[in-house]
Amino acid sequence: MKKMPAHYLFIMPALVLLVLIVIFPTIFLYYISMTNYDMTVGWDAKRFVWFENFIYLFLDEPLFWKSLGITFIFVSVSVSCELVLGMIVALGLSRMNRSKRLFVSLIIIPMVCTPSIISLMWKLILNTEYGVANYLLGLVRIGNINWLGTGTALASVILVDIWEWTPFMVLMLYAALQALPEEPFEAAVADGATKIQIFFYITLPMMMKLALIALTLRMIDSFKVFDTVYGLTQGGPGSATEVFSMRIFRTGFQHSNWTGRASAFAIIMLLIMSPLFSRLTRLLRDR
Amino acid sequence: MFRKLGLVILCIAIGSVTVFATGQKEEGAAAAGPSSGDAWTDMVKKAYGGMTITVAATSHPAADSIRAMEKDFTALTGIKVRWDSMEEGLLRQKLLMEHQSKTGVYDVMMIDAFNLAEYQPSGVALPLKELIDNKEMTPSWYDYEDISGAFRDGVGGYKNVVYGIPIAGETRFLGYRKDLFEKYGKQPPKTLAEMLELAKFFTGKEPGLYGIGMRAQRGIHFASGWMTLMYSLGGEFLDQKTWKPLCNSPGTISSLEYYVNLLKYAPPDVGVYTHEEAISAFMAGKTAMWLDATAIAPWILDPSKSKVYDKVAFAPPPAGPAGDFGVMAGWSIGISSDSPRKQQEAAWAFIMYMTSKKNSKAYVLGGGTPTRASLLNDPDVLKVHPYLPAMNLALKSADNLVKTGRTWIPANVKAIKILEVGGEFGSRVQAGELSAKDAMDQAQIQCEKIMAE
Repeated sequence: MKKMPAHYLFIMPALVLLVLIVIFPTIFLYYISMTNYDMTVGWDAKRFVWFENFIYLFLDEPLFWKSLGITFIFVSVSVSCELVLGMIVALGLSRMNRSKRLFVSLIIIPMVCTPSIISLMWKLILNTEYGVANYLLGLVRIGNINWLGTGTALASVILVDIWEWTPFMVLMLYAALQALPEEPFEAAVADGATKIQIFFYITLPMMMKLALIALTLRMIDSFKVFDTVYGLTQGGPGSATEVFSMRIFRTGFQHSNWTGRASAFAIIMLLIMSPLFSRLTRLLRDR
Repeated sequence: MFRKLGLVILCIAIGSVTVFATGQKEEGAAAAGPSSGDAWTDMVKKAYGGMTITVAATSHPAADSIRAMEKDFTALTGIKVRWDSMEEGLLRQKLLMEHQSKTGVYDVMMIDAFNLAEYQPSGVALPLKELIDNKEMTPSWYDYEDISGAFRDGVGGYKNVVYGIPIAGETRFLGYRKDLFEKYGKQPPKTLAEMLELAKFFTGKEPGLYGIGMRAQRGIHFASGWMTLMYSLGGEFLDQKTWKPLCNSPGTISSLEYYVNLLKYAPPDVGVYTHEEAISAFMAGKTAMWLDATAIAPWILDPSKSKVYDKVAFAPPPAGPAGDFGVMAGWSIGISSDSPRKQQEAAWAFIMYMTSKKNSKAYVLGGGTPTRASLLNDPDVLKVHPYLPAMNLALKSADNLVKTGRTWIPANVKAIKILEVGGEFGSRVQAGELSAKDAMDQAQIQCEKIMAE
């Protein structure tokens, strides 16, 4: 009998793990998406319905397109703000001489906190009547703001996401800044370049790749945003903050229990996000 | 069947109200019960001592009170208790998912009466009759019959099967600021029209004051708040005889219009209020009225939590043009059907201890809601729960609904889905996205599909 090559043996544990926690659940997800499985009725009562769930989502689901639109607004506004703010703080940090470590430790606090706790904390902070935000604004004579009202809830959710995830951008961009060689900067200074010219023509192009990786990672992550919305608004008021993942959750678990339909939703989300995944893979490979 | 059940619940509720009102006394505190040296305790200690049971719970005064008694239980029986506490929506999902995977990680679970219709078809909870009837496991001092019948059947049971022991039988009633009502010469509302007028009157009457606080967060919370008034306004989601959706019936639409109108006199971010925010606004003195669950009323009277603990009074829910129909809901404590048999028995010992007649007073004084008839006229209990007379009147309103052959949450496995759809569209009306008529027409289409599936 032919002996199994040793390298198969070495990669076997990783392969088994991959099959168990990634490949099998994904295949299972595709399978479930073609059934009418409902958790409350039980596994045995399910029926194979082919693409009925997908057709329902595209044609009948009242908030499919709206939730997609809200998610795009959420991703584009929050991630671009995080990038700009992250860049400003990272640049400031790279020029800091004292207390740098203390500052870094402080700014990563939002990032390391549990998101569900953050959202509950912010729900209290933003409460119109007894929240700290309005109390502080009241001290400078700014009237009560309805932070979680119909017109403002999405902006508040974005604000919380920016607060939570800007530190991630700061750390990534700061690391990129630290890794830049000093020679091009010295040459530019010798040639009389201004600080703005140095930033746009040297700093930015040189750290572009890492910035893109950070941006893609954040885009993938914020496309999946759930905890913040769940804790703050549960998608409301009305459907003001009904992001895509919230819609999936509501369909599959929040009393609707349409697990089959929710799986179809999840597959659509996966397909929308695939270009981002492949871009990230390419970026990491070319680095 | 509902008429029969309604009659039974009515008799028991009226009986308990009468007992309360006339001040007849039933002895509860001196009853026999779990204690060191008795046969039951010895049996439990021998058979289950050293075991660990896991409780799936939610944040609720009932859970807090049980937790406070846990040390004594462990000392007496040797059974250790592990708690997994989570938000109530999450608890429901977790129990369903754990049951689907048959993990059996939970032995004891808190069951919202709201969810029994969903748990029943796939058998999430263990039917308890066998354990209740087992004289060794359940000695006569436990006195199951002493638990108020309305709660026993309406909260712990479903379709005549007992799945849980009631720990928080609750209805909904009105809390109001008696200082403000006195100051402005107002009386607590008797009708929903009066309540709307009062909410309007008090909004802005004092700096930062709103008329009312209720739950209105999108989804089930909105539906739950709306349903507090829906039946009295002539609306309902489902015809409980034919199971035909009635989302766009004139009564349901006008009840939604009323609720959305009422919420205009609530704090502006009421659209994200669950029961927690609604009661917090009332406790912070921001609303003149509050209409919600009796089980959380102890928070309002707790000086460490509430700014208005000494300025409030309670009244039954106001009647509407269609009648005076109150809410019957609550929590029970049951056993997972997936847990191994021995664990289930240890879990029953835990439930027995916590809900026994002997310990019921300690449970209530610790913040739990009285569910035993023998406690309803206890002066010590009344001192802790001064709202009990109003609660009993509210229970009478709840019986009015049962008398019509309906239950507050329709007894159908799909009811929660219907409520979810109703709560979603209701919230969109409150947010100004849709008119009540359009929203309910859309909800009707979805609900018809759900019921036809």
